Amino acid sequence: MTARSDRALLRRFEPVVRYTRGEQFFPMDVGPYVRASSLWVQQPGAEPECLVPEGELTLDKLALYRADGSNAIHFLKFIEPLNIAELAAYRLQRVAQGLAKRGEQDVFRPGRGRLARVGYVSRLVDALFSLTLLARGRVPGDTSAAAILEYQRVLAEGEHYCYYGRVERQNGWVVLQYWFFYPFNNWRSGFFGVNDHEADWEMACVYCSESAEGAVYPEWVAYASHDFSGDDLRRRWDDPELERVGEHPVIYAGAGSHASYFVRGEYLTELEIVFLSPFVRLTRRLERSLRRALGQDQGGQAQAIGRAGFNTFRIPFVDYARGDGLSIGPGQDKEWDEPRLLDPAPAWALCYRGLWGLYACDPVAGENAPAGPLYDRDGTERRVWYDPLGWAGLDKVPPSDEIRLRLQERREVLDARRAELDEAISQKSHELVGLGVEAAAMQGYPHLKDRHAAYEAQIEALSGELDRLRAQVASDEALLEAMGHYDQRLRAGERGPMRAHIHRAHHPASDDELRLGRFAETWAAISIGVMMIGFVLLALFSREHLVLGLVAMVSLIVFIESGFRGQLSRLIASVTVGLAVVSALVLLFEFFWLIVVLGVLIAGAYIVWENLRELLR
Amino acid sequence: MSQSDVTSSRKVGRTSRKRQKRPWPVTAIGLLMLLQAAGLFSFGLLHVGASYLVQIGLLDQILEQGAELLGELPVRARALVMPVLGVVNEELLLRVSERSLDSLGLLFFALSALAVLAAVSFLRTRHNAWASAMLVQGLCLLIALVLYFSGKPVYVYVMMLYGILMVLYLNYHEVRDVFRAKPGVEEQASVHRGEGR
Repeated sequence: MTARSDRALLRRFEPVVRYTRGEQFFPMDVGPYVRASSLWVQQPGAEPECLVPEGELTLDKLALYRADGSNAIHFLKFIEPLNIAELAAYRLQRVAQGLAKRGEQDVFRPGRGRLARVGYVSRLVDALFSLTLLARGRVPGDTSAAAILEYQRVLAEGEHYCYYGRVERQNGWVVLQYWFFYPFNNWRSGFFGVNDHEADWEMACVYCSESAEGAVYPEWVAYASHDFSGDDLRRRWDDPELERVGEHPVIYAGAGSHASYFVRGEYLTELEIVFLSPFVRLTRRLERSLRRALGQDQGGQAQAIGRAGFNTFRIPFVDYARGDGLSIGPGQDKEWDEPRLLDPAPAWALCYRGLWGLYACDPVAGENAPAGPLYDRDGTERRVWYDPLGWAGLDKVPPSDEIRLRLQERREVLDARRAELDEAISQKSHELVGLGVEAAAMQGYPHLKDRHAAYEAQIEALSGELDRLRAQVASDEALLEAMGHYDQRLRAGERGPMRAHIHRAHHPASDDELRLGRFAETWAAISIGVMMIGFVLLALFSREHLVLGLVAMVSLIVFIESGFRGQLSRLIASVTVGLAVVSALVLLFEFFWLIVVLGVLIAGAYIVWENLRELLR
Repeated sequence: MSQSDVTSSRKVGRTSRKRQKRPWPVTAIGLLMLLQAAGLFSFGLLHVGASYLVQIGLLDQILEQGAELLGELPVRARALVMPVLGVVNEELLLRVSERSLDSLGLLFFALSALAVLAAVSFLRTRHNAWASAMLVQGLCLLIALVLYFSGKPVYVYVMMLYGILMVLYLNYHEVRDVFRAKPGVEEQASVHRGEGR
């Protein structure tokens, strides 16, 4: 395939990307970014050292910096933070722009705060997480402002919106990869998200089948998204959830994070703190056990607990993918430039394994810049690059025009295996009958006792083996029958359920979830602080009532929270069950031997009753 | 609206009007809660009565002078009254402060009233009956635990045991299923008409 035909294919299915109001960064060419950056190296235990200063770095030079085998980390530095005067000027400018553009398209208006959507413990954990940012390495707040100014300068020199494309052929599939490079991720500073970092690579894939005549048909689409992998990433081309403009799939990009979503909306994502994961597991187990004990586990509901719901010990963040801002793509507010090809991979992508932005020394890595399209942060190759099918769980799925062929192949294999099994069964069955006859003949002869015992063992083993072989045949026959039905359905043009492959889907918050009042939002924002102040006041002025006061305060807060969420009933049930457990422990403590004696008596009476019933029946 | 829509709506209307059969466990819990209400009322009477006797000084007199004061009563009546007063004194007055008797009595009366309301709504299978019943059990257990840690009057164990059994029964899946949120009549009607999505 030529670069020209690849380019045409990429253009044919290039996505439409819809952003949220207030988005500041859009996909750009890496050239101007690299020219505006400096290249640094961080040796372990040493200060970072500048290798190429700003203005002197080019894509060709970047390709020269290969991994040297040491633990050194190469990284780019896109911008220098603003000084106080520049930052103040920028802030004033933003305020003026905000006033002038009130209600206009590029102003972000947060919806109901993320904290109002989750429970009290989560908010407490969130407060702790915010405090850890002071200790962890992070991208300074004014860096985001400087990045916006720098990006605006780049756009002023030549406005462009572009993606990097790659066409890969694997297992009969034609995989179209669309890579989007953003100069900055300002999710935290711009949209109350998890992190900020320089540079951001996002990716979407369109999976097509190709006929013998060379016609290409799109079948699946997969978007890179937070915390999702494999089958969950992809949607079938005819899935109504996948929005399309002609042949162009629509991506709703998260504000600041640039994560890709199929459906517009506000997504609650969870960040699990490593040291809290035992609590996550413990709460899930307790809830499952309680439900099982009370017979409330119908249809395996208990297994699903915790997977489906939000967990208290995780930190909530909202990814706004509203799609109400700029839209880029064919026929949209802005059009894509000619795609830049990553096939064959250019030297800057292939050779440079370092980070594409500031290395913030963040051990959690959320604030460190990502590596290029080929590599992960640690320099290893990205799976989506070397195995784009496996990345979206398509390595087990053939293109639709090949399914019947593969099915036929498998049926032939199964038929052949069944013939082999039939032969083996016939032979072993014959042998077993022979052994049985010999064993029967040996009965009643003491001098053949040992041999008889050996025969018995042989018969038992052979019988077991025959049983296994027959079970295998029965199972293969059932499988063949199922394959036959599947073949019939395929012949009739059916493609099967379009979402059967999805184990865990990401859904935006529903209207009901978002319909909580301003008061609830305010309460969520101040409740943790109010509790802390209350604790201090109690400790200062009424220390003798500290415990009682705290219990009362927490109870009141929990009660108000439950009221907001319509969960009073659940709260009452949980508290009552808790009190029942404590009461049971008290009774056990006070009347241990009496309970034991009574238990034995009841068990004895029950056994007598059951036996008598059986006897008299 | 087509003819079939009208028929569906009527069917739904008839279904909603038709009284559903109340499952046996729901009836049992309703009756058990009425029994609990009666017990709580008795505890209330006991506390208020004891408080009154303490206030007029009669109880101390009876306990000190015993048989003399009750001398006018028949022997069989005395034989019945004296042990009861002894238990009241030992298990209640000596374990609960005199100041708390009145307030505890009133609390039991209030709880008894609440239990009656919860029992009635349970027997009528109102949608919030389950939560009300759990609330009554929660309050009973809370009072029992507070009393346990502040004096251990003997009846707290009865309250605890009864509360625990009621909580278990209330969480029994057959009972829970009756009070789980069901789709409303309008929603059902829209499903009948094929407008569910």
